[in-house]
Amino acid sequence: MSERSSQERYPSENIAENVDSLLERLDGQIADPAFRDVLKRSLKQLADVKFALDEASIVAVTDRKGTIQYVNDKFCKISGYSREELIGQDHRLVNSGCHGKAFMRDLWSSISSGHVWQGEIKNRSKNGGEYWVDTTIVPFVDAEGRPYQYLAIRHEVTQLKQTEEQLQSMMAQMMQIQEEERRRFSRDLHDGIGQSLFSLKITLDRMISEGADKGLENLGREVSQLMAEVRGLAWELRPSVLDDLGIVPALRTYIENYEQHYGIRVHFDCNLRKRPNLLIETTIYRVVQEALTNVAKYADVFEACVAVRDHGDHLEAVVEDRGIGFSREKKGRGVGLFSMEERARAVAGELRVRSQPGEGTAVKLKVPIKAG
Amino acid sequence: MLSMNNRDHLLTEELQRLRTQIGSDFCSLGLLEGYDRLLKWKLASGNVNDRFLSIIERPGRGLSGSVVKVGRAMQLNVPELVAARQLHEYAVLLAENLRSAYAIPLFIGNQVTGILLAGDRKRRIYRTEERNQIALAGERITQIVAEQAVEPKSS
Ligand SMILES: Nc1ncnc2c1ncn2[C@@H]1O[C@H](COP(=O)(O)OP(=O)(O)OP(=O)(O)O)[C@@H](O)[C@H]1O
Ligand SMILES: [Mg+2]
Repeated sequence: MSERSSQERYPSENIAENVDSLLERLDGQIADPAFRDVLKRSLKQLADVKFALDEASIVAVTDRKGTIQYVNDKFCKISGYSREELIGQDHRLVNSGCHGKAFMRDLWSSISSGHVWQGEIKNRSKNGGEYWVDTTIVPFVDAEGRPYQYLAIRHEVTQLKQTEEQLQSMMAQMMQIQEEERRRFSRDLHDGIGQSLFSLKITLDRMISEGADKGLENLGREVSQLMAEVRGLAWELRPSVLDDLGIVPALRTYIENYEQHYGIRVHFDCNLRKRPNLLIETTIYRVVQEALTNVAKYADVFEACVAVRDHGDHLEAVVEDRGIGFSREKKGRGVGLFSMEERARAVAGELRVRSQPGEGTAVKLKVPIKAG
Repeated sequence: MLSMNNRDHLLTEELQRLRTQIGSDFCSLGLLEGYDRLLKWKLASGNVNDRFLSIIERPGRGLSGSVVKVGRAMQLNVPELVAARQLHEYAVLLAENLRSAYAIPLFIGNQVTGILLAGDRKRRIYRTEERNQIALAGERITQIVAEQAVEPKSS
């Protein structure tokens, strides 16, 4: 396969490269015919496997330092470089620069200590296009366990990655739209039906005070209840305080209602001094809401803690309980945890859930903010 | 927890009696209070903690939206509430870890004044005779409540 002729080098650094010439010379070298057959078959198998690998995957072999010794046709095709351009270089040639130093350091420390590394890497081709490859790097180690060569097997997953990114951005947009709808419905309920009921109530009160029928008092009471319901509904959809006054008053009200509704005491600790942007406020509000609802539904506790803290370059919101906890394996088919993660992602933040059966649960949201 | 007055004593006895009669894990009485008629749980038998006492049901939601508003008895099952994404509205089921419950409205005149709830921590279907027993207990409880005016308690 290789265009480089290195027949003279035994063993070649290129996997299975010597197989043909070895097979030719085997007859004269080994007397025992049975053993010779086994050896021949094994060599043939090695060559076949190598062939299959090249057919299926993007393959590269590097030496201990990462210098490319071998690439197959698929590698050349996807990277846009010729074999001559690649051999002798290292992978920085196709590096997209999108993975940080820490990522590369982890990769190298893993394979140089003899461990197989697996992950997705974004590369850049010669013409500047980017492609994603699902990568497995297998170190070949010597007798002392030190790697002397690395075999990298890759499969292109660009399309998958793009779909994933599209899905995520779609999700972020959907959540945004949902929030806007909720805001609109909430306002309409409050200002529309709410206001009408209010005028009705005032009229009724006047009629009652002017000595109208006793039955009107009941009606007046029912109208008040209706008003309370409409207010509750509007608030549940999206509390207007969140838009008007910000995350802290919104959370305080939420927690107050929560405590009343569930009989669970919530310790609220907050050191925000100024309002983050509305998208972040919404994210924090929804994550805390979802996490506290989970506490009420599952944790089986009397109390929980909510903390919102400003750390300069990022905000942190933590919802914690000391309840029954859960393990990742047996988590149900709910969408709560998933939607919290998506919300966090949509503001470039991250969501961590720590939970142990019997130890309680902590949901931690971290959102980067512009410092200053 | 509560300073039991005579009325509460009688009511608690009724709750206890009902619980033994139908062999359920939990029985509780909720009353609609104040001008806004918010549903609060006042007394219980078989409770595992006191959380039910601090629960105020949301107007128009959960039992306030169903049993109180419609004025009809209702069987509740947690899996169905989960499927309908409504479980979080039924705080008393959560506080007491109930899997099934049967709730009836208590009427004074034609106004709902409260709820009698029987619940179990395992799945259960309440049979007709059990439902009748709950209804009868409901009537006795209503009578006690109606006779002795609700004491204004600020809590
Ligand atoms: N604070 C908690 N304590 C104990 N278990 C929890 C807690 N939070 C979540 N869980 C477990 O994790 C599972 C998944 O939670 P998630 O919020 O994703 O779904 P859900 O609450 O069941 O449904 P949904 O949020 O869609 O209404 C829950 O079913 C529950 O078993
Ligand atoms: Mg949830």
